[in-house]
Amino acid sequence: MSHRPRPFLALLLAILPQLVLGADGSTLTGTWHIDLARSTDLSPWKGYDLEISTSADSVTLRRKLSWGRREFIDTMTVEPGAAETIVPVEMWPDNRHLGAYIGAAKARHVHAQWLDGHRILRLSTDLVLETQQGSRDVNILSDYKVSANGAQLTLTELRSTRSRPIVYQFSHVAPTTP
Amino acid sequence: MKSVLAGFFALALTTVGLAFQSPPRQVAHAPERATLIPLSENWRMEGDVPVHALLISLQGLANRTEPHVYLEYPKSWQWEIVHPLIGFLEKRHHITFDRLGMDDADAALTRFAKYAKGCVVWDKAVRSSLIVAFTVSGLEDLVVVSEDQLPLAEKHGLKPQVDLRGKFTGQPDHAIYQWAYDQYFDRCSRDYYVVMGGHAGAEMQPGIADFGIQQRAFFSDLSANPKHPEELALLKKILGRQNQASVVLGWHSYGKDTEGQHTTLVGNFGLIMEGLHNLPNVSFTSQIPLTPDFKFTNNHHVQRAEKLTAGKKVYVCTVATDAMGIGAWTKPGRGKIPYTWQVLMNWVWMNPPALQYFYEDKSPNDYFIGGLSGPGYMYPKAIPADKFPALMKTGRELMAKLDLRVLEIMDYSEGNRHVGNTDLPKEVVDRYYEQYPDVLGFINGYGTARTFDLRDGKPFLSYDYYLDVNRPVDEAAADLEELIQLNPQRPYFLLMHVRESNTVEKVSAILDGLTEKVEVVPLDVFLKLAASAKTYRTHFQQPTDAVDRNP
Repeated sequence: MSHRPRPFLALLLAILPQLVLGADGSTLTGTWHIDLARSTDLSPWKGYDLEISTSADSVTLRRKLSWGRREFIDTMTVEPGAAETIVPVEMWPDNRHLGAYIGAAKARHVHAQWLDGHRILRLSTDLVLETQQGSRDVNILSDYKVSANGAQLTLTELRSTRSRPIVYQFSHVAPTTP
Repeated sequence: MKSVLAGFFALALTTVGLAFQSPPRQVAHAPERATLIPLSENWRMEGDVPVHALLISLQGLANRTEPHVYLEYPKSWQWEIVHPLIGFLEKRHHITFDRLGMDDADAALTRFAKYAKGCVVWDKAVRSSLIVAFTVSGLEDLVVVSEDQLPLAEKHGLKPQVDLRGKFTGQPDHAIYQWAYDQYFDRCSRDYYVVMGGHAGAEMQPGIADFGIQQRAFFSDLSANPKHPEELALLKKILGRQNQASVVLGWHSYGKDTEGQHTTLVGNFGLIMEGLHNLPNVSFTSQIPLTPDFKFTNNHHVQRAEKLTAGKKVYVCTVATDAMGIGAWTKPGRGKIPYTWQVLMNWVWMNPPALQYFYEDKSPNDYFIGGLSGPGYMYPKAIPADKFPALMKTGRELMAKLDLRVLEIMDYSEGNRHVGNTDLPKEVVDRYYEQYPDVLGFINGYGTARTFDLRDGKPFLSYDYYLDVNRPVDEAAADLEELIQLNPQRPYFLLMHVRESNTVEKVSAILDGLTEKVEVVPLDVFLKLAASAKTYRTHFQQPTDAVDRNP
C-alpha cells in the first residue's frame, strides 16, 4: 500500500482551509452542532445548532434550540467594533426553567469585537430580565472560539447573575455535497 | 346483603360529589381471596400484547361486579405502585392472593371464562382492530383474542361472536372508528370514554382497558391534531355526546397528537382527563373500600386563620407533581426535608387503597395538595366559563374529602416549558378565587410561570423553578443561586417544581449545595409566609404574551 498522497486528495487538503473561512477570513464561519456530552447541561433544550456567517464588517449568528417538536430560532447580525447593536428578541430562551423573562423592551444591546486575528468573537450583551420581584439588569459575556484545527467551536458564557460559567462545545458540520 | 352494601357504597361515593352519573360500585369489604397474574415485560404487538390483551379483557369482565383478578405488571411498569400495593392489600385488607404463572391465559380462563359469553377476534395485521375489540369486549362480554388464541378460547368454551379479521384491511383509523361508532357507541357508557393511546406503533400498553371494559366504555386512539381532520371531527362528536363533567380515561397517542392538544380539546368539552393509558387494575382497586379505621388526614402545619410573619430570608418550597404512583414516593430520601406532593384526587374513587397506602405511609415532612387544576388533569383556559363551576364543585368536594387545602393549577393550552406561555389571565384567576374560597392559596405552572396575586390573605404563586430529571446537582444549585441573585428582596419565595422521578435525596443535595442559607418549608407554611410579605408583583397573562398551541 502506498503512503504517497493522491493528487486529488492533496489538492483538497490544500484548499480546505479556504473553503471553511468566511469572507473576512474567520474560521467561525459555518454550521455547528452541539456536543451534549462535552457541554454544560443544556436543559431545557436537547439540541443547539449554530450557523455563523461573516462579511467584511458584520457577523450573523443564527441559533436553533430544540426539544422534540418544540424549537426556538433567533438570528442576529452584529458589527464587531461598532459601539452597539440593538437586537429585538421575543423571549429569553437561555434557561426557561428559571422564572426569568425578557423585559418589556424585548431587546438585547450587543457589543461585538474580534480577538486573536478573528479566531475569537466576543459579545457583551446587556438585557433586562423580569422576575417575580421586578426588573433586573443582566450582562452576558460570550466567547466563540475555534480550535486550532477548525473542527471544534467552544462557546463560553459568563452571566452576571450566575456563578458558574456555561460552556457549550460544538462540532463543525461539513457542508453536504449537492 | 353484599349487593345492598355495594349499593350503599355507590351512593356514598355519589354524595362525595362526583359530577358524572355512575361512579364505580364498591364492595362492602375487600375479598378474602383474589387471583394474581404476573405479566411479562414484553409489550410489543408481535410479542406478548396478544396474551396481555386477553388477560386484561378477562380481568375487566371477571371484575365487573366483584374484584377477582389483580394483574401484577412488571417491575419496569411506569406505575411502580403496582408492587407495593400488593403487600398493602395483603396487610391492611387481608387479601390472600392465589398466584398464577406469568401470562398463564389457560389457567386464567379455567377460573374466569364463565364471566364471558364468547370472544371477539382482532386482526393482528391492523393494530386499531384491537382497540375496537376492547369496545366490543365490554359491550358484549367477550374476551379479546387473536387468531392464534382461538383454540385456547375454544378449549374454554368461548366461541367467536365478533370477528374483526380482514374487516379493516387498508382502512384509515377514522374509517375504522367510524364503523365502531356506528355499531356500538349508542350502547357505550356516557360517563367514561377511553383514549387508548400512549405508546403507539409496534407497542401498546393498555393498562386502563380492564376498567374501560368493566364500564362498557368506547375506546379509540383518535387524534386531536388538526393535521388529522377526519379523526378530529369524530373525536369531537364522541366527546360532545358524553355526559357533562364525565371522565376521559387513558392518554393521547404518542404517534398522532400532543398532550397539549388532547387535554385542551377535552377541556373544551368540559370533561375530565384522567391518565394514563397504562394505569393498571382500576377494575379491581376501584371496588376496594377504605378500611373502616382509616380517614384521610393531612399533615397541616398551620391553622386556616393563622397568620405567620416572614423573615428577611429566602424561603424554598419543593413540590412534586405526578410523583405518587409513578415517581419518587418510594425512592430514597423521603422524609428528609419538607416536601409537598400533588394527590391524584380521582383516586379516591378509582384507587382508594393506593391513596390509603400513601396517606398511611407519609412521613411528618410530607404534605399533600390537590391538582391538577381541578378534579383531574385539565387546562382552565380551555374550559368554557359556563362549564367551569360544575367541574370545580367536584374539585372542592374531593379536596374536602382528602383533607387538602391548596390547589395546584397547570395550563399548557397556550404553551409549555419551552415556548409560548403557561400563565392565566385575570378572569381565570378570578374564577379560582370564586370557586375555592376555603383554600390557603393556589400554585400555578409545571414549568415556570409568572402569574402572581394575593387576595384576602390567599396567595396565588407560580413556580420559579422547574427541576428537570436530568439536571445535574451542581447546575441545579447554580440555577437556584441565580434565581436568588435575580430576586434581591427578602423575603424571596422560591417555589420549585420537582419533576416526578427526581428523588428527595437529589433535591436535598441541591439545597445543601447553596451558598446562601435558605429555609425549606412545606407549602401551607410557604403560602402563609407569602401572605405576610408581598415581595412579588401581581401579574397575569397579557394579551401580547406568546402563544404556542403545542403542535
